[in-house]
Amino acid sequence: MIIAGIDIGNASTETALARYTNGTPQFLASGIVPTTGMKGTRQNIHGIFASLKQALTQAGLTVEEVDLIRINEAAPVIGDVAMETITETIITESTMIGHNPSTPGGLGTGVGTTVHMRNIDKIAPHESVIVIIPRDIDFETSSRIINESLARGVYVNGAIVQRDDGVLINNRLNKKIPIVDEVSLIDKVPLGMWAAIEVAAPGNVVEQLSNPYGIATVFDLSSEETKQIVPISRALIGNRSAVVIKTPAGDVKERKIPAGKITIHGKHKNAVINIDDGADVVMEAIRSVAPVEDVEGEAGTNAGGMLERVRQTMANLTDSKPNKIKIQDLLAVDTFVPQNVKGGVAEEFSMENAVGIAAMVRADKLQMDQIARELEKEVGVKVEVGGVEADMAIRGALTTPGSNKPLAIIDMGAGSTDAAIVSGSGEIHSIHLAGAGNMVTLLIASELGFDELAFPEDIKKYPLAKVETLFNIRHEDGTVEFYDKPLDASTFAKVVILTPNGMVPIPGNHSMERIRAVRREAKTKVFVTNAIRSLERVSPTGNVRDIQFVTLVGGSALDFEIPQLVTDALAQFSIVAGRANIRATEGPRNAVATGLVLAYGEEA
Amino acid sequence: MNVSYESPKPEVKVFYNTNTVNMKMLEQILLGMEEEGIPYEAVAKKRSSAIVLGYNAAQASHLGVGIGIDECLVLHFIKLKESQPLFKIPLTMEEERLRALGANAARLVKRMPFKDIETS
Repeated sequence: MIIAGIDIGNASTETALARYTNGTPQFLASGIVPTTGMKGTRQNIHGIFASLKQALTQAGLTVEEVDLIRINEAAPVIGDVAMETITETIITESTMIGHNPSTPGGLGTGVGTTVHMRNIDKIAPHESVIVIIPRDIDFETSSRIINESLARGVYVNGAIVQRDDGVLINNRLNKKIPIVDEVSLIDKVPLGMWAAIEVAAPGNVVEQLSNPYGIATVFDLSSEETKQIVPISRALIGNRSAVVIKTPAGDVKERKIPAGKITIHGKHKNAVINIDDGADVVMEAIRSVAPVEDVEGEAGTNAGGMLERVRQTMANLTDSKPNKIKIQDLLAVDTFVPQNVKGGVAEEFSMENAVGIAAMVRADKLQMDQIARELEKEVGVKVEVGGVEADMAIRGALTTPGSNKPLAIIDMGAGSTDAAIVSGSGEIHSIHLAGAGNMVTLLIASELGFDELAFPEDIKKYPLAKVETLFNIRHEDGTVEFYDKPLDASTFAKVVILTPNGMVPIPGNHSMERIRAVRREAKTKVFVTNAIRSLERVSPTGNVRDIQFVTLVGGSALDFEIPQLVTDALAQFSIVAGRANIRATEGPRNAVATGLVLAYGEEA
Repeated sequence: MNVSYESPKPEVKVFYNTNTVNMKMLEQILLGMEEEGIPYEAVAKKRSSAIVLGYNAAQASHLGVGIGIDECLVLHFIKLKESQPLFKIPLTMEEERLRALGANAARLVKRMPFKDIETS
């Protein structure tokens, strides 16, 4: 008889097709299509049908020849992610400009009173000034006026320019002065104030203005005042050019945004924690009150808002009331978000601390029986619901060559990480954790400053390369690849994502090393953390080391580096961990579908 | 070690048709290169075509980068086919765009991402 096992997952619907003769299955073909609609709803039927059709076509069979279809009892688990910044930097009265124009002019440090270009003729000889040059004055006029003023005996010690004109002005001056250009909001620079300007040589960074004592020296500050300018010098570290202006009330403040408290309700006890305390504290609390029954945020705070948003999204997806939604696991991760500095004049940004949170929600039991009945009516083949997803996945995973009981599987999906363990005697225990592929995308997006998720999703999925010339790229590992046709000019000298559809240049100035580091760290923070967390929970002794074999299944196990990161991390606990290879042919795919077919034989 | 001090200076060459080019236009292109800190030389040529002038300029340049100005503006690179220049834009008096063309010639040498000139 012909049996089809069909697994409806969050992202894909997979089929395993087999022929049973004398109680032994012989696998004929597999099918995989994207899941239609939300997992566990009637819309799934189109996907089920397409997936089955695909397998049947491969095997040369028709629907009529199928004797039994078995679908999984889907784990009713959905995940969502959110992000909240917990610090911010505010500049009052424009006291500093710290940015990296690609070509600042001149060199050195200069100090003087800020004066508008149009008023420089009113300055008396022997006075020190920094000139402010807005867009409407071109480089020829400004360099001529500066030269005239210098000849008149005015000490012009630096210039702040709106256009990308720094080098042009500098090349026409009789005396070299530091020039910071491309200052977009130049109108905000206060006039008549004492200011210091510094431009470092190519390849160097500002030294005087990134040092609190350097600023103290320039402005003759007291020890108390020096304490207050530390955030300024800190914000200027790593820039090639910088301006600091001394205003009476000016200040740069680093503020902690009160993110609020969250309450974790466990089965036996509760824990209340401040989100500002960071991810580690949150995770420790989750561990201490486990098993978690619900998580609540303080009303009117960012933490409260963040959890309510997750609850609302889940409520919409599952068509139920928000107060019915129980958050049963959280994964909190410390991260950074580049944010525009409030009050900045050259669109400066600073890396603010943030906490990313993934939540796992258990919805009502999904309507698999109903789907089975409708499917039966539509295709005219007997359909049955074949058992718990985790049990099926374990059965499928055990077809991986080299695996044996006791075996744990970690199913790394998009919304949640699921783990299951089968003991030597065949007992199965499973859990669901928050945080998976979508969380990785969110972390990449926030740390690299992307507002949307298309680029971060590609960064997560594919390797990077740097376009070095019009004809060659350098891969992440340093190997060089040549092309016989010139590459698109839009990719020249940029970091690109090597997608199957070609190279996609990444906007912004991030280096390949940085993007790679962010990507790998995001994957480690989510998947390695969750792999260990899930094994701790399913291990009969609570100790990760008591599990010998771990196979990785699910979409994220197909990733080009996540399995290696997890294998590497788990090797420290002397665990054999690796990507599953279902039926020695399917890789980490088709575990549940295969399990559904195998379970039939065991039941019969 | 033998170092020849007579070897030509590494510079971007700009070949322009004296009849069509507006000196203001040429100047803005040259300023674009100056801001990026790359040396250049502008040479007046007889009437030809921007692509041919650009390609010849790239061949004459020790950096392999040339700009041709005639019926349009062309930025060429020695390793490209003559008929397929890197950038080809119509004649314009837009300062920003002209400077960007010059800057891109310099950035091709410096291996920095180009400024956007196609869509401005």
